Amino acid sequence: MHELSIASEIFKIVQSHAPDGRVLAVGIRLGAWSCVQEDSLRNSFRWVTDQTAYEQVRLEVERIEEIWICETCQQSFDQSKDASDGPPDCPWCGQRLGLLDGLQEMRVEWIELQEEPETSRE
Amino acid sequence: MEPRILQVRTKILKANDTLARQMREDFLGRGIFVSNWVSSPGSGKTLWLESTLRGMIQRGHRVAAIVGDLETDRDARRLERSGAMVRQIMTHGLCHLEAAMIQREWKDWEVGPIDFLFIENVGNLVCPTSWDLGESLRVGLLSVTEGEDKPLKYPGLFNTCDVVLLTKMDLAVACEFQQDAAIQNLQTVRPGVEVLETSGKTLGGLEAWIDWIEDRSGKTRP
Repeated sequence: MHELSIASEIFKIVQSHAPDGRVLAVGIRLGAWSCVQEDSLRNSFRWVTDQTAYEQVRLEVERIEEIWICETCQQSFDQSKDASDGPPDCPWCGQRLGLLDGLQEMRVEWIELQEEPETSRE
Repeated sequence: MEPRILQVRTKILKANDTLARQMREDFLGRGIFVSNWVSSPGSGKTLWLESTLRGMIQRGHRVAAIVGDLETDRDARRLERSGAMVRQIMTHGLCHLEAAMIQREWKDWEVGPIDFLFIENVGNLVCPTSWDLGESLRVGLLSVTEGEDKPLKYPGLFNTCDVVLLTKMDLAVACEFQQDAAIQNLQTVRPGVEVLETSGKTLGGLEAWIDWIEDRSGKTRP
């Protein structure tokens, strides 16, 4: 149920960028281990925006896969893998000493605004 | 009306993260080392924290604790038996603590000069994961009764821990706890994490744990 807190924060960010409420959609990115249940987040977002100027805003969720950083050569690489398999081999140096990164990430990436068309001046 | 994409690229918990960073700087500026204890309910957090507080007071450290639960002040009353100053946060349903909740407790608390502040989070292996409380150390606890595969089932939370305490080690044999497998599973989700053995019942591992946290905090025996 922490999704309600997260939905509230998303709503605040949207409001801060578009206080007039003219928003069509908001796009967020969630790390593989961000511990956010997507359906619960969508329901929570509907609930916090209910009966506001933002109640029609679409929530678009992109899941980002695991990002590893090789402890040996410090290169990063993106490779989805079951956690129980342990770190993958680094594609750059072949060592198997990857550290997980980006897994907890939760970001608002973009907001789709609905804007008035520019009126031509005579 | 025409749509326009506004690139935002803002952390969803930016407000919490910003406050937590300010709090961490403030705590460290006052010489206070803060730890945030996370685990499932019933893993033995409160008993081990009570023993930790008592042991640290015996070593001359000035300590305080904040404990979060949905309801009741039972844990605060248990922790107070150590002689430490303790505050209870009742979340009334919220499944985790947030930085603003710690700040609210802290700002009017006349606790005096302290060396260590311990925060016992709400018992939950999911929700506390993403909330930075201004801590310098995140302590995870894994009891032998929970099973050695818990880190694989809840990788997000264990991935954020700086140290993991295996608790209830006095029950390890009775539970047929496979310690090597548990440590391997922790290393899988948090490569390099330090793991210590503890028992709140026998106090096994207490001195080593207090040595560890003194060393980590840079605060040796006064």
